[in-house]
Amino acid sequence: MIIHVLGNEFLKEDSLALKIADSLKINNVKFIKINTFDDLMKTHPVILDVCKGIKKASLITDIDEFISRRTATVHDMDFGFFLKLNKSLGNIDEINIIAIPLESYEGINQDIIKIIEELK
Amino acid sequence: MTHTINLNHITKIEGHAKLAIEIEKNKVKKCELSSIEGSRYFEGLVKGKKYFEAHEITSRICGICSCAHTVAANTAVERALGIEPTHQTKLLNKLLMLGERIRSHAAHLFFLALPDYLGYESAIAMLPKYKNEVQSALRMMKAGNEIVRLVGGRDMHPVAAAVGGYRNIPSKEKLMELVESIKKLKLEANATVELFSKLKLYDYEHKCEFFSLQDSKEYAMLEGPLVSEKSKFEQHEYLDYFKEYHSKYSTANFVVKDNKPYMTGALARMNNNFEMLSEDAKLAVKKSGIEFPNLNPFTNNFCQAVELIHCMDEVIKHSVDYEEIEEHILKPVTNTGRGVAAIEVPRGILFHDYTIEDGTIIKANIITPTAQNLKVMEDEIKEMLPSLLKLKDEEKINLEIEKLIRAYDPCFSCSSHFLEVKWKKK
Repeated sequence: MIIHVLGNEFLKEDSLALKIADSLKINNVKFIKINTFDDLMKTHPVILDVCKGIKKASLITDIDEFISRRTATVHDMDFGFFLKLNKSLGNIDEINIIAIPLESYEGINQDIIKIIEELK
Repeated sequence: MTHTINLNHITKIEGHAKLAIEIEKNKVKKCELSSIEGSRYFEGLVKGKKYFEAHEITSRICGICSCAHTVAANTAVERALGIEPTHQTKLLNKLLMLGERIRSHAAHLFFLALPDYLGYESAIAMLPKYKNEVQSALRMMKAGNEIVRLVGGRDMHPVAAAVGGYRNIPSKEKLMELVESIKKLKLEANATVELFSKLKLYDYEHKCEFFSLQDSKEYAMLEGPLVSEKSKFEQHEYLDYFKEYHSKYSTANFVVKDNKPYMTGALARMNNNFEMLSEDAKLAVKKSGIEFPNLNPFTNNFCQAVELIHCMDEVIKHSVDYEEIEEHILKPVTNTGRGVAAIEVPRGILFHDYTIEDGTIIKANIITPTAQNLKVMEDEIKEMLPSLLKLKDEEKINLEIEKLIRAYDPCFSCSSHFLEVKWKKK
């Protein structure tokens, strides 16, 4: 299983997924850090990313759970916009996002491993 | 009676801007286009840093134009410290810039400009009727990303380009694989030109100086003097001609020449350097029937579409020429000096100017294309308003104003610097 990891190492609030991907070793699971959404096209991607507004690691499968904001600038063409666009285009059929909170908590790794094992 | 227009959120542009218009007895009393972004202080941030740090810091001015700032900073520092980059470094700089321009133009044209003309709120809303066009945009953006990733080491904020050369060079084999996909994409770039040539533009012309670089050997990108139809001067002389000034109502500086606004960007480039476009780009323009020089600023989006073809042709040409030679990073000849680089980036001319003493940057000046275009946008809105007012419907007027602003593909966040229009009528 390939898990695509998103984040920005320079931003504390956006770096947790990258740190966890470096620390987790799970059989038959490969974490790949990605910078653009190109790598997600034509796949059924599994993604690890931080998510604002949650307290524990959770699995998101419904893109409509993301709040849309007005696409005003190229900078607004964010993760949610690209997922919705690519789903509407048929480039992505199914998506699994392992969403984690912005800050770590005790037992976060175990919660992530549990979600991954269920996805396998 | 005073009529005030407050366009408080100009959408689908980079960054944040607002427009305040005051009309008294059908005459425009005030028209102020302003940036409401926080100041960026990048020129201050690089002061006290070593010469080799400038590109890494200034690249962060903008993700979309990170390659542009990297190349401009490196070129300016190289000129300051007597480094003459190798033929291969110049070629890789061009490839990096071409990849960035392809992804920037494709994103702006399809996701920000086109919905206006087709009457949609966003690209997602366009999908039921324009699915192929949106897919095409994504493919072109992906191709641009791949070029930047291969040459620059990653998709944004390139790490391979350094002062004096490239830390890592792309493999010729991988570059030629990209060329094959670019050759196929040219059909889609041609379709983009055809699509944008058929859009009904506001009938308007504005006489101003159109500035770009000019190069006797190619469609200028990284070298050559600054030219307009009546001016020509060297890059390092830019401060003798262009004056930056600050207005209380904007956090972005304005730039003028002889106290008059000028335009920079794809339209200026095509007005000044049309004959240097690739043959296929020129052929696409000929088929469109649109003539150059052209004074309608709304044509800028069409020009961006034409540049997609040109940039793809250039990627193919430079990739074929690329020899993959292992080279050392060149060392500075001196550790003190001043260097200016003016380069053509997606939105126009970008200036980076550094004064370096004992290897440390003591002074920096960065002027983005949007800062240069801000005054001409303001003047054009002022000039268009009397005829726009005949539309009566404020929403329609605002849409035309926003179309003009988006024609410039401005990046207010980078000019230091969305539109709020504030209408005030008396």
